[in-house]
Amino acid sequence: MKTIKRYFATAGIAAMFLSGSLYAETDVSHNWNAEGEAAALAVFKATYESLGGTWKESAFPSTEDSQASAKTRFLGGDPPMVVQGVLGGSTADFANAGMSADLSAYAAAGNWDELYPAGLAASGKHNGTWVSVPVFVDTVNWLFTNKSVLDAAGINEPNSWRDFIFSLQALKQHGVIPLAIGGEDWQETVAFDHILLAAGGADFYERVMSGDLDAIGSGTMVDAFTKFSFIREFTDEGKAGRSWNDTNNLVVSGKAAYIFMGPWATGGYGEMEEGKDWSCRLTPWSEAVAALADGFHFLKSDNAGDQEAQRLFAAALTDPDTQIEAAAAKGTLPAVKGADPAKFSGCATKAVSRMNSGKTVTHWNARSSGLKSALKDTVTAFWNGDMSAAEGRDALLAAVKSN
Amino acid sequence: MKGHFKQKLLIAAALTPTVLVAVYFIWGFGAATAYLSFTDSGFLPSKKLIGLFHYQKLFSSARWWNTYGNMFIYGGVYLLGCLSIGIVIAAMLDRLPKSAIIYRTIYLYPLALSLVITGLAWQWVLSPTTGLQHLIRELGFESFSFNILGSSEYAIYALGGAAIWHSTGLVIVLFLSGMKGIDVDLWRSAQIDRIPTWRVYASIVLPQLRSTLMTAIVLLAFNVVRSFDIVVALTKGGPGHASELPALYAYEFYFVRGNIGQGSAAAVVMVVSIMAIVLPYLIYELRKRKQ
Repeated sequence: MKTIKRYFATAGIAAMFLSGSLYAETDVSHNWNAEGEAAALAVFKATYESLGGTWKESAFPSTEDSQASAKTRFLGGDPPMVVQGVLGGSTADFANAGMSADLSAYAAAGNWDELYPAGLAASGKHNGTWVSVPVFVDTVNWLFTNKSVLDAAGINEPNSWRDFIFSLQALKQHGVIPLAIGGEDWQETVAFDHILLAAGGADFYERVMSGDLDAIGSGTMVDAFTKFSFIREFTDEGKAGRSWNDTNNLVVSGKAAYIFMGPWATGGYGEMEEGKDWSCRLTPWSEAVAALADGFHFLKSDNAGDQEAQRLFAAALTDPDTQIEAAAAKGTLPAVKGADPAKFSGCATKAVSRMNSGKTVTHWNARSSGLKSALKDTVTAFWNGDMSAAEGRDALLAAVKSN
Repeated sequence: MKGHFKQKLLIAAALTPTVLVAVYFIWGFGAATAYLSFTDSGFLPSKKLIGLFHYQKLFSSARWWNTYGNMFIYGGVYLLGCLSIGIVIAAMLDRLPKSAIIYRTIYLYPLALSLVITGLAWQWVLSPTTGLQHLIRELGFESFSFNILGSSEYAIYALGGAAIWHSTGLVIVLFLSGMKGIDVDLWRSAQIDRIPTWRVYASIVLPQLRSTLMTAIVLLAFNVVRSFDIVVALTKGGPGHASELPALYAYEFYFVRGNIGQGSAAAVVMVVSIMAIVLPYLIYELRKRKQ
């Protein structure tokens, strides 16, 4: 009898815990751990709490880990309320998997279609329905330069592909690493962005990234691979397997002159002065801004408490002032319209002016997973192998067709 | 008779939980993976069967064939290396007096390290900018070049080498205990007949250690299948995908590319291939022992 009682007591406590977890405040699954990213998240958190939400978060080292956890929890019936990540291709992934919440009601209430520029609104929608909320626009095609290294070699910052190549040769003679690159496929593909822009410009880039087989199979693509293989000799031999931050550090510390990297590389420069010690420039040989929307995927939940939390969090994310403040903290651009350029500094200002004057194209990381895989696989195979440029073009064409 | 039955029952009862856990977590999950490889599972697992689609994709992928081939290069180098070096060192240790136990510790020590640490340490040693090449150039040999990690052709051997360094200790321990179990009289008679020591090992000792060899091969073969952490730590599968192994490939398709079906197909091919090699050998050895 005693044991039975004890059994029921234990079961009761267990049930309390279980139900507790079902009705607990729901959490934000993210991988914003770097200083600026954490500061941006804190801004959203403050607004969310002021609206009455209770903040809970699950931080992960990478998007993959965050997504893997969210998927597992979704299948187990206890999803996080949102997953932070790049929108676009993955918005479709979540929606096609039936994991997305329908945000139409909140979008109508907050008039999101007016709030966002059309291109960015599209990144948060699947088949016309709002399922994710864009908060930032990240521009990815940056060329970072250590200006002291260039000065020491007596070189001016290059403004054309031709000048860039000349400067690489001069820097090599000078005895520094001209171009720092790491050993991961995405780093190589981020560098390839600039090569594509050098070969075919913004329109060509857009066509390639939308999977246009004519563009991918064209002679321009052969030219791109020729250029890509040409810069290989200006990289160092320690690149195999190197992470992006180690690679970035080569430029920061003056061992290397250039790196092609996203805006997250700015964090490495610390107290050094932009414009004097180092510089960030969007691809100098093109007018293109390769951008992507960063934001939050909202996951479907049947729980009324979770849905209320989602409503509050969506309101916090789409509050223009909050979004602009968070973007300034992260050093990037807000997704909403009408941000005052004066609020931004350094690289973000350059991105704003380029967006106004140049041509914005969608970066490969916001494209469908099929195209992304095909591109990364081919670029890394070409960069580390001994394919000819024409073979590279053919390999990319075959990969895009089969993915 | 009754006591015998009771004893058997007791053994069965004691083993049942282990068997159940093994069946569920190993064979159950294995079967689930195999099932998923025939479904249209993408971002999330799905139950809809689509036949051999993922296998067709896999077998038409140049990246997969390279990765699959790497498993045999890596596995071959690793097994042969561990076994040959391990057996030789075991024999040498076997000849040492008991007081020389320190050597056993030295050779066994790498086994205590995790594969991630092993990979990282060797990454430091082999990296041209921080390791061996850097050191020798600092010593004045400016033209010395050693960049195995940057070589698409040879990076896979670097993985094999690091893994051998890690696992040879296991082979040493297995064979050392086996050698200690050899009848002392055998040694005495060999001494009387003036047979050289190496010959005693090659012709008398090792043939008696067949079952030890089998244990070692099975353990090492499964290390080959699950090689993941050492690849991540040492080469990240690079340069490019040149030193990628199937476990890393499957991981990427599961968790990075949201293609569970393709990852499952890769996992199934990987395990089935290793089983196709190890199982016939196991059956052959076990049959032989029964006779």
